[in-house]
Amino acid sequence: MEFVVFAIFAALAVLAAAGVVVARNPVYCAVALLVSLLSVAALFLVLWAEFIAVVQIMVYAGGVMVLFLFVIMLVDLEQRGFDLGAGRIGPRPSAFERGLWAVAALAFGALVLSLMVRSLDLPLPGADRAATMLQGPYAADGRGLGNTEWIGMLLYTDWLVPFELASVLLLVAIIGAVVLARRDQADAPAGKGAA
Amino acid sequence: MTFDTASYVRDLYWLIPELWLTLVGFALLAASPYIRDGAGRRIAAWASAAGQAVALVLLFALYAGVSGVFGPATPEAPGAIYAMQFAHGRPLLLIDGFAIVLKAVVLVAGILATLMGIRLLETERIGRGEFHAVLVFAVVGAMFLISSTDFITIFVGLETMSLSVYLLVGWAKDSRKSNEAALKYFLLGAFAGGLLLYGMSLAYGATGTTNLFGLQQALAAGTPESGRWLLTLAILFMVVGCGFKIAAVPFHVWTPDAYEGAPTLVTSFMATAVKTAAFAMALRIFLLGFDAPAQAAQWTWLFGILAALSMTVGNVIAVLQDNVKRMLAYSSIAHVGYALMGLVAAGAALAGWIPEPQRSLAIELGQSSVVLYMVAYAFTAAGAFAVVILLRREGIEGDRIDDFSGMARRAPGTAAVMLVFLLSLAGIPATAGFIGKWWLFASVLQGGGYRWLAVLAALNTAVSLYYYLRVAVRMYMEIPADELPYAVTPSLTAAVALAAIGTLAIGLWPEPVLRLVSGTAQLLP
Repeated sequence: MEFVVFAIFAALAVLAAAGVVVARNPVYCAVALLVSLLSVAALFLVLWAEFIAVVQIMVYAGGVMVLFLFVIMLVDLEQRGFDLGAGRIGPRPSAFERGLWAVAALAFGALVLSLMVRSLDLPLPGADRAATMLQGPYAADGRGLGNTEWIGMLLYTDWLVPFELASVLLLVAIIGAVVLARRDQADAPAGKGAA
Repeated sequence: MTFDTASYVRDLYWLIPELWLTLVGFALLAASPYIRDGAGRRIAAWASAAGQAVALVLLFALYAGVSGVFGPATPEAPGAIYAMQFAHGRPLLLIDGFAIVLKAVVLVAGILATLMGIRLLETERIGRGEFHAVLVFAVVGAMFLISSTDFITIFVGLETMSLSVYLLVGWAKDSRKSNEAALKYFLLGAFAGGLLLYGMSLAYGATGTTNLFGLQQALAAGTPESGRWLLTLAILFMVVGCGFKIAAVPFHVWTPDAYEGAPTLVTSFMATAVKTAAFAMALRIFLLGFDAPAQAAQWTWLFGILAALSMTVGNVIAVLQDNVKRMLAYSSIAHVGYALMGLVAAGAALAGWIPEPQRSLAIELGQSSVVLYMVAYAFTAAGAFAVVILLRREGIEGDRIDDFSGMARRAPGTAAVMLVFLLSLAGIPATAGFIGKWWLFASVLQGGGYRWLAVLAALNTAVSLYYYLRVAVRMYMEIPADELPYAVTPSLTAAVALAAIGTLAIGLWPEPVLRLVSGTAQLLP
C-alpha cells in the first residue's frame, strides 16, 4: 500500500518536473512545477512527516508559486510573443550531438536505476529509525509529542547551530536579491579621489 | 533527549571566531547605507580586514589556550580539541588542528582579497558597502564548512559560502562578463549542490545517519550487500559534487569563465578560500565518513582519474591562454589535480593497497600534504592575483599577458615579487609551492598503485613552467606596453607584501608550518 502510493506520487513528481523543463509556455511551466511540489508533499506524508508536508504546501504552493504566477501574468508574456523555446543561444546541435547526449543520459539513467533496483531489498536503517521516531515516540516517550513539536524540539536543540547559520544564509540571499535588483544612481560617479 | 544549556554555552565558546566574524558582517551591513563616498568605503574595507584579522587572532588564541590541556573530546573523535556535541551524541562540528589551520588559511585569503581590492572596487565602480559584509559572510560559511562533520552542517555551511560567492562574482552588474560568470557559476554550483545532496540522502538511506562518525561506524559494522550498491551510488554522486566545487576536470567548465568575469579580488578569494573550504569538505567526507576499505577502494580510483585529468587538461589549456586571469584559472585547475594526489594516497592506504609499515604514514601524509598545499597555494595565488589587480587602471583592463610587458623596468620590486609567485606556482625550490608539491609527491610515492600520478605531475610541472615563465619573459625582456602608472595603493602593497612573505617564508623556513600541518592529521583512527 505504502509502496503503491509512493510509486504514484514519485512518478507524478518526476513527470511534472520534466514538464517544467519541456513546456514552452511559462504558465504551463509554473503549473507543472506546482504539481511536482504537491506530489513531493504527498511523499512527505508517506514518510509520516505531516508537518513538513503542510509546510511544503503552504510555503511552496501557497507562497512561492503564487508569486511566480503573479509575476508571469503581470509581465503578460503572451503579448510580447514570449516563447521559452525561442530563446536559444548559438546554433542548434546536430542530430549526432543530440544522439550522443541521449545515449549518455540513458546510460547514466540505466546505471542509477540498476544500482537502485539492486538495493530494493535493503532493510533501510534510516526508514526504521524514522518509523520509530515518528510513530513510536508519541507513545514511547510518554510526553505525547506530535510531529510538529518533535521538529521544533530538534530544530532548537540538536540542530540549533546549523539553524542559526541558515539565518545568515537567508540574509545573504536577501542582500543578493536587493543588490541585484536595485538600480544604482549613487554608484555611477567614481569615488572622490583615489586611495 | 535533554537540552543542557550550560554545555550549549560552552560549545559556543569554541565558535567565538565565527561568532565575532558574523558580528563584523552585521556591523558592515548596518553601516553600509551611511557610506556614500570613496573615503567611507575605504574605511569600511579596512574595518573588514581588521575584523578578519581579529578573528584570526582569536582563532590562534583559542588554539594556543587549549592545546595539550584538553584530552580527547569524545571517544569518537580522538584527535579533536573539541567536538560540539549535538545530534544523537555525535559531533556536528569539530574543532581540531585540521579545522584551525584551514580556517586560518580562509581568513588569510579573506584578508588578502579585501586589502587587494580596495582600489579595484573604485575603478570598477562597484564599491557598494554591502560588498564587504557579503565577503565576511562567505568567510563565515567557509569556516563552518571546514569544521563540519555532519551532512546537515556541511550543506548549510557550503551553501552559505557558495551563495555569498555567487553574489560576489556577479557584483559588477553592468559588466556582461561578470553577469555571465555569475550565471554560469550559480547554475552549475546549484546543480553540484543538488548532486551532493542526492549523494548525502542515499548515504542516509543506506546507513540511517547523516553524521560522518555515524557513517564510519555503520560502515565498520558492515553493510548488507544491497546497501553497498546504494553507497556506491552515494559515493559517485558525492565525488561529482565535490569535483564541481573544487573545480576538477571534467567538472571544471565553469571555472575559466567565472574566474575571468569575476572582479579580480573575488577571483582571488575563489581560488584560495573557496577551494580550501571545498577541499576540507572532501577530506572530511571521504577520509572520515567513507574510510572503510570497500568504500575507499571505490572513491580512490575515481579521484585518481580526476587528479590525472585535472593536472593534464589544466596545464595544457593554460598554455594556450592570452588572458592572465584565464591562465591562472586553468593553472588553479591543474593545482587541484596536484592536491588531489594527497587524497588519493590516503585513499589507497585506507583501501588496504599499501602494506602496513607505510600505511599509516601514507594516510597521515596524504591528509596533511593536502592541508600544506592549501596553505602554500593560498599565499601564492593571492599574491599573483594581487599583482594582476595592480595592472587594472582607468581605461585599461590589465588582464592580458601583454600587459605585463616591461614591468621589470617600470617596477622592479613588483616584477621580482611576481617572479617569486610564478616560481612558487611552478614549484621551484625555495618557494612555498615547492614544499607543498614535495609532500604531495612523497605521499603518493608511498605506494598503492598511484606512483604513476607522481610521474604525471612531474611531467605536468615541466609543461607549466612554460606558461609561467612566459609571463616572466614579458616582464623582463620586453618594452613597457603603456605609460599609465600602475594602480599602487598602500593596501595593495600590503597584500602583495604579505603574500610574498608567506610564499618565501614557507619556502625558506618551512619548519613552523610543517609542525602546524603535521598536527592536523590526528583526526584519523
